[in-house]
Amino acid sequence: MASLPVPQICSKKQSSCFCRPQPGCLCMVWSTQPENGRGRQIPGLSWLPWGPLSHLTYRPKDTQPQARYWEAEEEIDFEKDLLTVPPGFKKGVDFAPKDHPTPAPGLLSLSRLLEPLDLSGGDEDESEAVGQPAGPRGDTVSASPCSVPLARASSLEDLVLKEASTAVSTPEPPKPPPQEQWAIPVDVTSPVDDFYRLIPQPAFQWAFEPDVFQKQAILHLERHDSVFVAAHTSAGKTVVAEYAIALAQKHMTRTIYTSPIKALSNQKFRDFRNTFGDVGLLTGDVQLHPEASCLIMTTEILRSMLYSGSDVIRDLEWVIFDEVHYINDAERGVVWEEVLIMLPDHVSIILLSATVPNALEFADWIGRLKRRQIYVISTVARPVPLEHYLFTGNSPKTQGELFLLLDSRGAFHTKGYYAAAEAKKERMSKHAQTFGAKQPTHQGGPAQDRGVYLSLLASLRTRAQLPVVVFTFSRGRCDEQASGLTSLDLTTSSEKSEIHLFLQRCLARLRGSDRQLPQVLHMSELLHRGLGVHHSGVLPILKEIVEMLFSRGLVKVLFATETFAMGVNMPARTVVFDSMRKHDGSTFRDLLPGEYVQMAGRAGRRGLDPTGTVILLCKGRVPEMADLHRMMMGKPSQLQSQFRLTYTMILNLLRVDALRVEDMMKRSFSEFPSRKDSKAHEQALAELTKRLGALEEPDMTGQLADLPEYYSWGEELTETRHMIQRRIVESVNGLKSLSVGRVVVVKNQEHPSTLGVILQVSSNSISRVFTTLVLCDKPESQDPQDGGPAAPDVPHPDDLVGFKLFLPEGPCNHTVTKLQPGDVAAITTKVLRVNGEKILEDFSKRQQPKFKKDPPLAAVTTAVQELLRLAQAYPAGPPTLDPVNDLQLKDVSVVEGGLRARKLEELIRGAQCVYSPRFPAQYLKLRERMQIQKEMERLRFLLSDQSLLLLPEYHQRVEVLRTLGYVDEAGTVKLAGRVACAMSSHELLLTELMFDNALSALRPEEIAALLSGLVCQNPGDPGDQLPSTLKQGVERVQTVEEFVGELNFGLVEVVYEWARGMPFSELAGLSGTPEGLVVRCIQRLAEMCRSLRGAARLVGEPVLGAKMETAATLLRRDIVFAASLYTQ
Amino acid sequence: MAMEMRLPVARKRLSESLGRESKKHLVVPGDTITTDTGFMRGHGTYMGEEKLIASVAGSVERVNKLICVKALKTRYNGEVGDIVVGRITEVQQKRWKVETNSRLDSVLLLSSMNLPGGELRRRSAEDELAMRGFLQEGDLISAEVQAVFSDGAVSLHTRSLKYGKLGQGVLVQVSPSLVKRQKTHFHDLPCGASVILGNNGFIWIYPTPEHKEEDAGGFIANLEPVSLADREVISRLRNCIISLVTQRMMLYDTSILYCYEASLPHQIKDILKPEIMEEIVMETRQRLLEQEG
Repeated sequence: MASLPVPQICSKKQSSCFCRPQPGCLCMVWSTQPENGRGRQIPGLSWLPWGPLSHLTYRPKDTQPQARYWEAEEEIDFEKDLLTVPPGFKKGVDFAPKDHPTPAPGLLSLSRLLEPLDLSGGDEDESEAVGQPAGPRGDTVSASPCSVPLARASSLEDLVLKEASTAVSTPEPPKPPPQEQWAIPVDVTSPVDDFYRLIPQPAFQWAFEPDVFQKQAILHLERHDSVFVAAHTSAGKTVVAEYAIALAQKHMTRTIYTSPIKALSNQKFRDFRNTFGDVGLLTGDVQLHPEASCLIMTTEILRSMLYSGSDVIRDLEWVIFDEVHYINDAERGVVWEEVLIMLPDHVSIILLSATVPNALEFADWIGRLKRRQIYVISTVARPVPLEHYLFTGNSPKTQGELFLLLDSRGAFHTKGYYAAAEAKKERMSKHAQTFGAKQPTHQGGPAQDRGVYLSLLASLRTRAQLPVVVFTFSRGRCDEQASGLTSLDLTTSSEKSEIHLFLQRCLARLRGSDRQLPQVLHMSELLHRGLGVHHSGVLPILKEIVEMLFSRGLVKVLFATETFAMGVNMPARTVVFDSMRKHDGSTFRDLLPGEYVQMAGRAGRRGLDPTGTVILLCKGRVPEMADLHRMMMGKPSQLQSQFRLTYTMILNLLRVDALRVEDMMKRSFSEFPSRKDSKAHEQALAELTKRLGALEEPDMTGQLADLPEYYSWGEELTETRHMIQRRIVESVNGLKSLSVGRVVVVKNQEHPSTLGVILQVSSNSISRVFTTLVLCDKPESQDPQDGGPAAPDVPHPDDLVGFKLFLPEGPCNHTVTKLQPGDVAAITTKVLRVNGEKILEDFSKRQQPKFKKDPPLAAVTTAVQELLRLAQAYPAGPPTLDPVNDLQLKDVSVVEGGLRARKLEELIRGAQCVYSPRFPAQYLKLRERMQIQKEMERLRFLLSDQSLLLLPEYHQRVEVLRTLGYVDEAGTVKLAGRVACAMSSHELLLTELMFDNALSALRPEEIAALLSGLVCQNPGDPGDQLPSTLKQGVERVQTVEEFVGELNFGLVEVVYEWARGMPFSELAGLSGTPEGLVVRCIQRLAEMCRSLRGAARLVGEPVLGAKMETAATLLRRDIVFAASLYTQ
Repeated sequence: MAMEMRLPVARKRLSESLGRESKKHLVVPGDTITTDTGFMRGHGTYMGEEKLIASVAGSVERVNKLICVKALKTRYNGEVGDIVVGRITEVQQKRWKVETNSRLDSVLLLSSMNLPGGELRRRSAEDELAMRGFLQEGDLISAEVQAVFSDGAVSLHTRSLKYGKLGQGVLVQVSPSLVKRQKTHFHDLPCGASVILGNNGFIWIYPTPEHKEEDAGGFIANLEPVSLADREVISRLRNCIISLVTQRMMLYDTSILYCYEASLPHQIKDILKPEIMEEIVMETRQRLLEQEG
């Protein structure tokens, strides 16, 4: 029977909980003994009475008897049925314990599989614990200091070892380990069979049985641990979020759920409200139930809450970050980092992400930030496996040309690929026969597209593989393709009426003329036929209608852009990729594996379909197999820090003294790799300090008085020479001089100041390599100077000043080495005539054992003799090329360096200490000391703020703020800075505009139109029909704008007319911008107007404030601000 | 018994030469600041007949095109992020009314408080009932301004544990315009006492807590008698602050410390004599000028 140490631990905790002097409820403590009630926030305060939850994931391995029992029950043939590669996986699992970041699920060792039967023994304590009252106040009772001081494992191997013996939550004397591990991967392969025993009263129950990874996550949530869940979109991460919300409701605390996009927030709001009821929504323009126990918001809102120290943070228990891989977003990723850094320690974090390869590293960063363990639950399992196909058909005749490329088990079928290529080629060649050899690059116009889609949809329809999402990477093509399929009608009459009713109900919210918008009419026509379009150009309300109809299964074919792949569960039977290339803002490129996986993950409805189908259209050529392979089976992109400094961040942090900007930078994920070892550095520093203290002071009396100077001169000289040499080698002239035949002084590990002649210069410009023939001793006499009172490494003035060339004792030998530029200590003025290639050839020949005894060629011996002669002629080194005169290096640093070097040489020559007999010994002592000090300096630097990558940028930005008068010399934020803090975006430009009095004189609608230039994303001309005041305003903004790059005044007229009350239907005629974008622009504009109103109030300018208020109300009307359908 | 009698005399004007602020543009209500219409009006000004006119007595400040007048003697106008010291005047449902020297009473919501024990949970009805136990009328607190309502009323919060109820110490009330805005308003002076320079002009002088981490933000007054030495330092500081205020010197850690050092030759009770006040403030001023160079 496995020994179970865990219950004892539990009981220990239990008792320690009770032996608190005041175990009663806190309010009692407070009213009776106020002086005792003062406490501190206890991070990781645990809410539940100590339950039996502490030994869940890690259980003893030695469970053989149970294994047999289990075997009998399940009747698994362990001899034959074992797979090494689990179904749906590409690779098998290495069973050996290892510190692999993500424990790939798969079949693990038997004992592991069969462990969880440790039912017997030691349950008494636990059942007692379970019986504790768990009333609303009772929950908070156990505010005991024993709140799981989790064991710190110095490495993962240690952890694995420990698992075997004890539970991970064993309190351990906190000894500072050199390398901490804050991210703990959770094994999601072993089923949690005792789940219901461990959580007798779950805070939330589902109609279905949670998956293993969900159970694991829930167990950790119950322990108030932070978790990182990385899984595919449809795997069911929401379950984890739901449990946290339920748990917080039980504990009377709050949960914040953040999502990257507003649309997603709306959808989640509806989902969670249906489940929990008490749910609020905070986005830029909607505020619903801000007091609710679960708040859904965008990450930006959470950030501003953290900056302003909102009350909401105070009773927060969980923060759930959905789609956390959004941290890779160049524009907004920094927000996630800011929020994660600023979240108070008592908040537990739940991160939900698509599968990322470096989940562990990311979790380690967060764990280090918060000084708490993050449990990483990573699974690549899909509840519905996917099958990937290529489709080459383009007509009814070829509609069956569907080739399996990647099956549900993850095997890549090259056969399918070749078949597809064959089918395509056949048609191509036929085509070529008929019309002559045309380039097959032809991508196909709308007509051809239509053929492809008609045949594809017909084929899918016959196999009952609808609904289908077609991902197209441009808005225009989305529309085109949907409109092209005029003949297609996929709905039955009863569905038609359902769609019609739904549309009627939704559109009833709109104003009369808005219902007649071309886009609305067009879309309703499409929807009636079971088609849908979903991209950012579609009006938000229509987008929501499409989403809702799609989730009800009434939209059979949906043409969507990538945005649809993000977020809530909207699965289809089939996913079609229009192409595998997309435009990412700057160039066309192939889809990244992460993107592909995310989009493909939309295929396969859980519980409905056995597999999901993913089809890649081959309209032109069949893509290269390597590309396909990379896209389908490649690793998703890593989580990367996009941390950057923003003025808002700097101003907000300067305003309060809770957190310095330096601290923020230090904690960012981008600094993580360098900061990770800070603990180790600190330790090394302490070690060095100790060693330094133990060293005896070098004697520096009498003649040795200038010993320290001597040392520093020597160091400086070496450094200066090095610098000059580097500059020479980098310079054009220097490189020219370093040609074949040049005699150089080589100084590196093997060759102490030896003459050499360059034989060959590699042309690689990044790292030049000089192949050089160097003098050396015969290999027999390894150490030339053994013994002797002057240890070889105590430098005398001659060593330092001149080169004191190495002269081989006895017969001279030579060798050929490859030198880095740094190894060349000096370039002499001498040039030898050598035949480099010949020498090299000869030398390499003689390297072979066969020719070892061969005498060197005459060319070699001549060169060696010549070198030797030079070395003898100039024992202190031959004259070197002067960097300034000979090489024309007029660089200030080089010239100064040369002067300094000469000065130092003189100083060193004049040094007295070298004449002292105690010089060598004392010098060594001093050097050791100095080296330690230098190392300490380096470590201190690494630990200090100075080593931050972004520090120079920070100083520059603060300088900007100082020049503009936003902060004063001492870093106190002044009025202008506070105004800038109030702005939601473009903080500097808006503040400057305001203080420049550019806005006050204008009318509200003009201000709105003017500001549209800041929020609009489409370039364009302002148009000619603008009133003159506006034109002036535009010019003015363009002159104020010296520091901001791009402003687009394309929508000025549209916004102006909208603010003046023009109906939306007429607006569409004014610009070619898609309606959805116009709406988004106006929405953001209204937000900006509101922040300007706040700013105007701050400076005490009521007129402008009133104008901004009016502008905001003028903008917020009709279809632009129609409330989301999800929030109804 | 020796006794000192003093008769009221007209206050001597300070010599202007020392003040660097002599360049300041000072206005009284009704003064025209500018007739140029290109400017924006800020606090303390109004537009009349195409002119920008001062509505308070104070110095004119300009940020680009914005002109505002900073009043010399004023009630406290809250700004987000300010640190204030205030006195509880009323316990209401879910909130306390706090006197912070502003025009309207400030509020401290129950939910914006770090409750004793620092536990994190939503406030319940029991907490509401126990509110008077946390803070009652007359208690002094330090807090941060969380938000300013549209009518100028201030909402406070105790963002971290360094805020909270104040124990033993001395409160000095000065004009808010004399408190210099700084990054930190909590100072542990080397002379042995600490001050909180509230942005609202309430200054709290208290003995430097020994075990800082434990005590900060506590809700229980430490009733241990304060040693005589500490009390002397506190009274001296208090008198120094009053002298600085009488001579209209800005209050911040350096000025207070210099004034304290200048006052050391005198007895505490003598500091408030006008001639001594003048002397030590002059000395302070001199040192500050030297230091600022």
